[in-house]
Amino acid sequence: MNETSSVVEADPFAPKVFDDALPPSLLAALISAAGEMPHRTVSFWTDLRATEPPLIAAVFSHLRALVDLPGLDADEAGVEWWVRRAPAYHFQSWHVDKDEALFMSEQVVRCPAAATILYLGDAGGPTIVSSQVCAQDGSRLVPRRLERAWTVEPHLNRFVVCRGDAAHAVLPSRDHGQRVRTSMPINWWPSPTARNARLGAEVTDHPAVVERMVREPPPEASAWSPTRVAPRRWHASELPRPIEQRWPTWSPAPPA
Amino acid sequence: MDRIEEVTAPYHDWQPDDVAVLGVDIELRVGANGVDILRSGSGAGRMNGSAWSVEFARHLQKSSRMPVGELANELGVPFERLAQALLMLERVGVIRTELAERCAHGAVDE
Repeated sequence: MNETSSVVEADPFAPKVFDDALPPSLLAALISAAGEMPHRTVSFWTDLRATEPPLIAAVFSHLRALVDLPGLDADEAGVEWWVRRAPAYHFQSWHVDKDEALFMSEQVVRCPAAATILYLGDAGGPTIVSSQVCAQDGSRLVPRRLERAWTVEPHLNRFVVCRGDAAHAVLPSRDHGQRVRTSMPINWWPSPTARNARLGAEVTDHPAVVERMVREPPPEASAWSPTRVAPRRWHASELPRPIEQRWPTWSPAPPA
Repeated sequence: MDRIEEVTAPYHDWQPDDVAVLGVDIELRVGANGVDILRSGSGAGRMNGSAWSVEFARHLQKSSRMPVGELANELGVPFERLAQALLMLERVGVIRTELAERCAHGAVDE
């Protein structure tokens, strides 16, 4: 299946992919701010009802419509986000996104409602998303073996929406080996994540970041409409390596 | 990306060109049981174990500026394993790589 195909995956495990996710003026402002953001040192928490900083609030307002999950209507719902810059030859191994601060303190695996990525450039290898998801107790992936997977190439202003419990990885890029892959991972939560000094920080507690984000967002483009595209699909016969071999041995979470 | 090898074994027919050098104020001391990492002259950690990591430390000591893909060949390890070591050592400031420096300074390649 070609990535630019207009055919949309019906598979409930397939990621949803949108091109031209943000209006160009808003994207330009975000890229400018992201270029000055801390590199992998801290993740931020922003309430979905927040109106500050205005640039970030405008970005999430646009993207929320594409995530389209009812659980995000909760009063406490919010997003955890950061800017990821990495050498494009790096391989980020299979993992599920989780409340890292909670996991560090209590070894409990809690996944977001949706794990999403906004690409801020074209450089780098694809994100690969598995049909395997994290079991509810966090102890393993289900089903036991990889059945199918989807790849999404980085593309400026492309937005990919995955299940919050889906295993995914980032593949290296041969063509862009000496370039920087830049993206903005955004996890969507129905209620706040645990926090520590580095994870889930309030933006307002970081004056330098706020300073970069206080610029007023550009006016919204009227009738802006992202384009849905299909990710490339791979079958297990093409992906013979069972990814469970790489799964860390975690203890099951205690009953809630 | 058109070939299955690029998904299942992504470094199968190419090697990255990034260059790793020792971080500022970092010194390595290779001993019989591994490699001691010194930061500003004080003990900051150890690289234990395999023979290739000792050889890797020697390359860093020499500042050979060998591309990391080529270095993996020289050390006789799959690049994936060297990449994991590079990532970990770069995160704790033991090494610097050209590309990681650009990431730290906010480069955005479109």
